[in-house]
Amino acid sequence: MALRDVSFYINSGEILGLIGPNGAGKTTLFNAVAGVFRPESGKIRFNGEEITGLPPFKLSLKGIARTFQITKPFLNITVLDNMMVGALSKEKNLEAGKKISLEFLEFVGLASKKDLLAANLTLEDRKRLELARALATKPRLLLLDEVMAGLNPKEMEDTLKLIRKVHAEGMTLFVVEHVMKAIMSVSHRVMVLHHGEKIAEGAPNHIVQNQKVIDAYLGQSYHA
Amino acid sequence: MKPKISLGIFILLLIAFPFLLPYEGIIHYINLIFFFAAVTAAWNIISGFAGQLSLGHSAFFTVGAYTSTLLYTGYGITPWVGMVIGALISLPIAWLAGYPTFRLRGSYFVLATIALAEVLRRMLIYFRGITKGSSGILLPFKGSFKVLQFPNETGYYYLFLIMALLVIYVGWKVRYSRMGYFILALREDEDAAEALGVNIRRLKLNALMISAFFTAAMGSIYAQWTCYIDPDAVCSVEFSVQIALAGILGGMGTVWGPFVGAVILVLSQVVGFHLMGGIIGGVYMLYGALLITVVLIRPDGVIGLLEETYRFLAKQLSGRSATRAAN
Repeated sequence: MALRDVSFYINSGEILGLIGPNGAGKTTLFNAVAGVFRPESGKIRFNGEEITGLPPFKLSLKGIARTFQITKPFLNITVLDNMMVGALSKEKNLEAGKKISLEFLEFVGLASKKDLLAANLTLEDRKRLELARALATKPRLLLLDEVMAGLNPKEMEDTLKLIRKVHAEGMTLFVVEHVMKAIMSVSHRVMVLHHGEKIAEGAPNHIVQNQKVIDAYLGQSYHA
Repeated sequence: MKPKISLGIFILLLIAFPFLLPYEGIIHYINLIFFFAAVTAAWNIISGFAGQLSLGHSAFFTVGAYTSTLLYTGYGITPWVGMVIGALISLPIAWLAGYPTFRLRGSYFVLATIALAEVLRRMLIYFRGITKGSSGILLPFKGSFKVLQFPNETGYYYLFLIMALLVIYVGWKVRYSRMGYFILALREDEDAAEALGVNIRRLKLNALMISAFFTAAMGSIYAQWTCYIDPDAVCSVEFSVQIALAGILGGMGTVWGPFVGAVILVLSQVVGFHLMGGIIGGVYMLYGALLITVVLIRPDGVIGLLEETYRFLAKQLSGRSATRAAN
């Protein structure tokens, strides 16, 4: 899906939500920001520095972390070793890296499972691990790609709590989400994509009343 | 028993071995085991830990063997120095195979390694003015430490023992360092590793160059040991496959897997030679059977089986002593 003239910003310390019907270009936009694709035109800036087209590892080192919609735990190593990879990206010392790892496992509530193989985690725990691992790289901006996908209502509630907790620590978040209720309750601002174009942007309560948005998307699935 | 103490006893036994069993014939086979353990441990760094299968490691081995040999026979430079130069030359050659292929996903690297070894073999045959081509190079046997030789197999025993332990130690160091975590991540999931700040291409290149360096050093030692090298012996597909086979059989990406794999490889060579020496390709049939068996039953290699057995026995023993204590 191609994007056309989509221009947006995220304020430091803000949670920006991105929604749109299937095929609206959410993933394309997300991937452009995360460095998976290089945009054909346009620029992306982070902290005043141009980062357009930088590979993902450089973005990570600059302070942009991401999670994957389909989680990508390192299955055959332990939860703690998974964490170490993230923690050591900026930390050179192994002991210090372990401390950071344990700290973030505690933060997401996985400390008791640190010695399990990641393959033995449930989907919800895998998502938690993915989040903790991203946080361990000490990012300033966190990109979340459909973290709610595949979770039941109880798990969603827990995940929302966790996102708020991450935000309370001062994190800036860019959240792509399919589950409307979730994104509306957690975002400060919401941006709506449709056919690769931005059709609305604003506070969640304004977005749900926007006629264009209702026509494009909300009318079918959102029951406020 | 603490692992450090048992490792110490194990190493002491290894040191005392030639005196406990002073038969040159047996020591020769032990030397072969250590030789393969060292080369396979080097291979394991890129193919085991980093998960980038190489079926052309004979190329790096050949670079080491020919560099030290040509410097020695042509210019009288001691193979000790030649070994270091050969190992250093293997670095840009490794880079050549890795740089264009590590940015791609899939089997490109393994194809590049096969091609590298084959091109090198052809070049050695073609430039016979320098390399003596297919007839190979005969090296003088002096049995002197100064030229990286020993008067008997017992001397070589210690050289190969040190090399095997050294390269296994390097593997251990790589595995349990900061780099080791990134290498594990890379083997498990490249996208996730990259998202966490791992420069995948550089990491693979580093692992490959460490691997090539020690493989080349072993090539120099091998040349001084056998006193004869030719393209078909050192740069063959067969040798590359033997290295990979020992690595896979022992357990890829484990610290001691290469050692276990080397034992199995050399034993199968001995058994294969005695049982099927008359059958052309008999040893290969044995290799194939071993490979299929291990990959089907224990994809993590024989070391996985050994560890499991050890844990089972340890549990049984501690269980029994606990009951006795209770009584």
